[in-house]
Amino acid sequence: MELTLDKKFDERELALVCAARTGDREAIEQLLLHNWDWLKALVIGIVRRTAEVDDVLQEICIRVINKIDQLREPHSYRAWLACLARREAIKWCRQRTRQGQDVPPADRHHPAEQQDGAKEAELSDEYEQVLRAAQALPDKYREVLFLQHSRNLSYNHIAAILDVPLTTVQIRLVRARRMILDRMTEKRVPQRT
Amino acid sequence: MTIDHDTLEILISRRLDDEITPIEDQLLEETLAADPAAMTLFEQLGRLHRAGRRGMEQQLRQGQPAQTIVRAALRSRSGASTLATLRSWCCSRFTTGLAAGVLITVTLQMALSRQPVDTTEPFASTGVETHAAPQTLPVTRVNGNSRVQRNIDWYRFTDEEGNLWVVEGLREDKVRPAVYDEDL
Repeated sequence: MELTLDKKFDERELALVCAARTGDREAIEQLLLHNWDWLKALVIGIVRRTAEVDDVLQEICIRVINKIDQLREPHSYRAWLACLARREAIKWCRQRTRQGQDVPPADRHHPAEQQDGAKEAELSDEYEQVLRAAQALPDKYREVLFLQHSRNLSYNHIAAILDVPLTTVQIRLVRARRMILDRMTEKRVPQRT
Repeated sequence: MTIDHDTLEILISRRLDDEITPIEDQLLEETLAADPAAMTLFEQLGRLHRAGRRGMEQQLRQGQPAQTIVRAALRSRSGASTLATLRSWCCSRFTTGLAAGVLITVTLQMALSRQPVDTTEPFASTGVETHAAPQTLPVTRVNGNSRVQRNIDWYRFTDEEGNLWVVEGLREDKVRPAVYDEDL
């Protein structure tokens, strides 16, 4: 049943891709909105400043609008989109580095969380720790983990986005989790002693 | 049935991501029930998974709504497109105009070059008046054996200072002033 829904969803997106290639603005908008969460997660994984994520995303949107007619294979649009987003985000980071505005990933801050109770603060602290540990992962592991966390994407979808085999996705996720767990366990030990 | 540590981690990961099959799930359940260390690992990874997902949800909620960003991009693209069209239109208009200008100039040049030259024109423009009508001489052969024939006109006039001039006119689309001679 889920597979059928997934297939229908893919077919709908494929129709959007075909329409978008002909310059249909509505189709381009819908296509971007459908893929927004994982695109944003991908960008967050590369651009480490939350405040700049929206700027990068807008650049990506412009790039998609300009280049969608050059997409050769509509079936591989997710990989194309990911490749384009990754390139744009890396370009942005390089520009920032050249301008001397590079900031470590510790810049993440959630004002809303500070107003919550102690338990929520503790949980929030844990999110922070996990996210920081994830940010410290090598690119290929961070990417796959962020995509998985972004919107319950299936392994199939992640494999399509990253253009890698399904087993690779699975192995990378296992290793990413192991590395985060190791990192967080290492951190906790010194705090207790 | 026991499974190795790597397989255990893969099964846990698949369970967390809802990718586990019923058979794998049963195997995992049996392992977790039999091995407390496996259960501890499962709980730790599960906790990290939930924290990571919640953290990402918060990150995704931050910033402007997706629709705002996409529409802004579409608007900016629309502006750029209009500008590009306008630039292209202007460019093509300029090129067409330039080509037409060159064509007209060449055509005129060719047409004018075929017209006989009015030999009195240069003098009229300098304010010098001719006082005599052109005297057309008979056809002259340039070389004895040559078939080329040229008509030569002679113009005689007196300028404002009283000097008498004779102008030799060759019908070759050229105007040559005659050499001044006091005896004339």
